[in-house]
Amino acid sequence: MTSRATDGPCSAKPLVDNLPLPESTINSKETTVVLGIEGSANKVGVGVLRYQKNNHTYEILSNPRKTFIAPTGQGFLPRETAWHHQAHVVALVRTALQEAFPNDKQPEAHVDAICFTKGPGMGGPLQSCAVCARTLSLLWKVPLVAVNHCVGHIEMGRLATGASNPVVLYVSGGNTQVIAYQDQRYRIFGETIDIAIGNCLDRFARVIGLSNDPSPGYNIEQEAKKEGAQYVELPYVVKGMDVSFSGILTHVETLAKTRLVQEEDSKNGEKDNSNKITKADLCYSLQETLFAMLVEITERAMAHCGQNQVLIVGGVGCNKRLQDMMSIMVSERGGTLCAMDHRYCIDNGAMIAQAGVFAFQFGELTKMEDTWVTQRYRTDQSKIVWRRSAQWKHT
Amino acid sequence: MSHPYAARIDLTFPDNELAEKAIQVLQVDKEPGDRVVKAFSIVQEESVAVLRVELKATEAKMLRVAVSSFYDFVQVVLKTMQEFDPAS
Repeated sequence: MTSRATDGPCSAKPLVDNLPLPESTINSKETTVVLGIEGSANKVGVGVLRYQKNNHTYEILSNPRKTFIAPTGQGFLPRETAWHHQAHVVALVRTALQEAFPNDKQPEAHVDAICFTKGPGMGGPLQSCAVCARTLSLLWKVPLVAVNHCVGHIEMGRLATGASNPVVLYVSGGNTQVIAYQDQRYRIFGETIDIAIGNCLDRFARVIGLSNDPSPGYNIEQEAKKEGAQYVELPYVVKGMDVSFSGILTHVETLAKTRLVQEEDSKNGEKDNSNKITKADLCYSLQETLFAMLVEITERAMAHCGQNQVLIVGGVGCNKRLQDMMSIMVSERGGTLCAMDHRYCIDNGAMIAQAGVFAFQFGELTKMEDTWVTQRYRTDQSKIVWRRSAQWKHT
Repeated sequence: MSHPYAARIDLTFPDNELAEKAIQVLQVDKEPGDRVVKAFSIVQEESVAVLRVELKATEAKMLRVAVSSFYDFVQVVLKTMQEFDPAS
């Protein structure tokens, strides 16, 4: 059974794991509004999120985003990505405010705090967004809240799907982790020991000349669905709770360079030579292999934690094949899969606002001198003060 | 370690307050390593405030990168101020 994210205000009531909001000046207000600014990879987004006390709901009022797309065959590099974010972040803030509060002459007056991504991610792009956030904080005289990018994905997922305490599979271009919550930390149970799955997919897309528009992963997914795609055996690399992708990438790149047949050739009947494979074959085989590896380590974490719910977050979470494969495993265990669509799986400002508002409501503000950004920021380094601190129980 | 390559950039701000805010924002990010050193100050000039940045580096290439980055980030500060300064 799969539960999908709903639109409109999300009630926080299903999140039984969350602590009640502490008594404070902030929490005595009927409405709390925060801005979230995200730009750790090639997407820059600004979200406006509103909390309503009377019905305990969080609602995304606006969530505009711009993506820097590299030319086909190339990846996005830090310098150009930073320039892209620098060019768009201010306009996105303006757009987000206008969409959230249309016809309001001073929409910024509603904002109680500014949340921004501290890390992990690419240095220049992160800094470009942080600089904007800091400036807004000083101009509007509102506090700053630094947010861990991974925690942003998780909290957005929990709220949007109502899953209070799932095993989380976080899969994106920059991260691949299996996460479970325990005692005010998101603990990493398993992860990639080299590159992220999204990075593997993106780099493979370059080798076979797939466009980066709208994203290389999306184009691989479409290619894999083509009729007649055949499975080609690829290495399968699970190491206990962890996975490894760089060897598989090398292997599939080599196959692409040596045995790939162009569509024109296959129409002429040259596919009879069983040594040749098509782009569709490789895309299909790569997805089946990588996703099966993820399903395996997720299942292992579920068994370890005695959990029945899986939440998939991160850009690669948009992939329907991954969702389907995970769903099969989860159903076999009598559990639920929680998934979202591209609006929330892919990096966005509202997810930063979501994790940020929780921190804000629990008094976790960030002083200006601590608002530096960092490329490395582990998911378990962030203290999850808004959730119960419970001791581990062995069953 | 000596830093023989230096550059000074003066940016004129309409008032002291905005110049101070810009410095607060920009001085949070330290240059990685100690091969580039940055120092901010405000020089008062009649009715305007001048934000002064002095950059020093051990190599010309590092100075060029530091200066270029500085301009990139200060432009974000300036655009944000132009769009959202409540005083204007």
